[in-house]
Amino acid sequence: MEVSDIFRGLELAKKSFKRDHVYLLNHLVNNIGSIVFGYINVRIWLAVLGDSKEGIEAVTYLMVNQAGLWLVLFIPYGCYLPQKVYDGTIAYEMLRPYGLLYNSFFELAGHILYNFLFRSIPIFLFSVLVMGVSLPKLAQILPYLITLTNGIVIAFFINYFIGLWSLKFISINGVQMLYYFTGTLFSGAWIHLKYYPQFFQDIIMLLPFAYTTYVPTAVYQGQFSLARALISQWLWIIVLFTIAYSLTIRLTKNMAIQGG
Amino acid sequence: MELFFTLFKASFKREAQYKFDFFVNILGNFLGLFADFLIIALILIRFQNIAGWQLHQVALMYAIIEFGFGVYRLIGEGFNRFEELILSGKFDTLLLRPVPVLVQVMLHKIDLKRLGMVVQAMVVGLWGIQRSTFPNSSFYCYLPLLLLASVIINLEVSIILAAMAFWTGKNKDIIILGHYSTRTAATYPATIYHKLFSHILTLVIPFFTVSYYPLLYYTGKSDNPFYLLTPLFGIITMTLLSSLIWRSGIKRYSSTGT
Repeated sequence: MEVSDIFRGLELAKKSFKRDHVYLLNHLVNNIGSIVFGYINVRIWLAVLGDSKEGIEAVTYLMVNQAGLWLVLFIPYGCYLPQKVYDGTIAYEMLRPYGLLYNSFFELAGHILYNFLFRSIPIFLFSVLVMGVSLPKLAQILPYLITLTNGIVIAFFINYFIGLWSLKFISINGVQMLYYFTGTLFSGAWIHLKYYPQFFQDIIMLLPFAYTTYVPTAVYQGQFSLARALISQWLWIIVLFTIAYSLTIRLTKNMAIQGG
Repeated sequence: MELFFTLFKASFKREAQYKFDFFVNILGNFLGLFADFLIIALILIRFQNIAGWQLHQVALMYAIIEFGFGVYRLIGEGFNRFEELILSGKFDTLLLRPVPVLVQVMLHKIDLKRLGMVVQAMVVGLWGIQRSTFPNSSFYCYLPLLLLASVIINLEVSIILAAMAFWTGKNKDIIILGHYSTRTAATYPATIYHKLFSHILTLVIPFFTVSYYPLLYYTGKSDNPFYLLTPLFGIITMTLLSSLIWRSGIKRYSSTGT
């Protein structure tokens, strides 16, 4: 990969950022909806934990997750690929001088940057100012941002697999629902993993989902070792990249045969 | 012979491919539908109750709201996607036909896959009923009316929010805020929220009138039978409100069209 390739990728990211920006007002309304969902979760947990230290920690945990949902869980289905398969524009993607994986990554990167600025930050600020969410200790800000970025990359690969699924099977309804189920249950977005039985926690930590949501937020709260977080996340990134790369080659080869 | 085997292998692979997708489709839809309730269940298994409501009682609230929401998504998907009709201009053609516009929008799309949502609500509800003891057996006569009321309230909320598109064009995010989030909130007891929020869910988007209040009586938390009338108040208010908003929306749309 050359330096100019990166710039080409950034150009893709810029375009998807601009495309999202058109709907800023809609997204701001959506943010209020997201805050209401966060508020519901917070009230449920305060009802069971009370105004204890544990309850206050749960508020921070839930709302930091809520702000991050638009970066790691609610991202465009299959990284835009199913839509492209559906309307046929995937053919143009194949003509581009760079791979599908590369294209999808940068296209999503622009979207994520947009979501970070116009969804995550407003939701987070509201949570801090109105809902009593604690700010992280100064030393935890950078570790949080790094683990969050790693989480985004892991989430990208999982969603990219859904995109690849659409190349193979066209429909993604079932696999998307399966992703919703696993994400809901295993990411820790709505329930802190410590409330699961120990054996279930052990299984979850062997899957990639918790590294997108639970781990960054636990780092934010100083409850998870940064070194352990980074090693596990990087391992997942390497594994997922390898699978994504080889699957892309295999599937796009098939597509070329069908197209020809 | 070699050709036969090659073709056979290819054919088998193709079948297996689609069967796999089919299997994942069934599994994904089944698990996906239960994901939300599973989270509630996990919390309540650990903490026993939420504001005095046990899991089977929360299951009843959840089932009533989800049943109404599921039926609405089944027969009223046209309201959910109303912005598409407005933005594409297809709404104009509905105005020309000699059938009430509301009926046409409602039946614009029957979304059969939402049947899963309805069945899921019924499964959770039946489980809740099995575990519950009611003060009297009138619950079984009252339940069908309550479920019907839930469907009506869900439809009316969706009509009001769909009508917003007459003013705003796009309204998907307004629906998420006004319907999806409030319906989720109404599956939990009103006492866990701040007063203002529970008033909104009682008086403005009155989902509590079909979930929380009637169940206060049937779970034995209150012996005031007045609570059994709350769905009626909810429906009367929402019928007036939705009809008013829809009509003024249509008026506005017509006037912009000419």
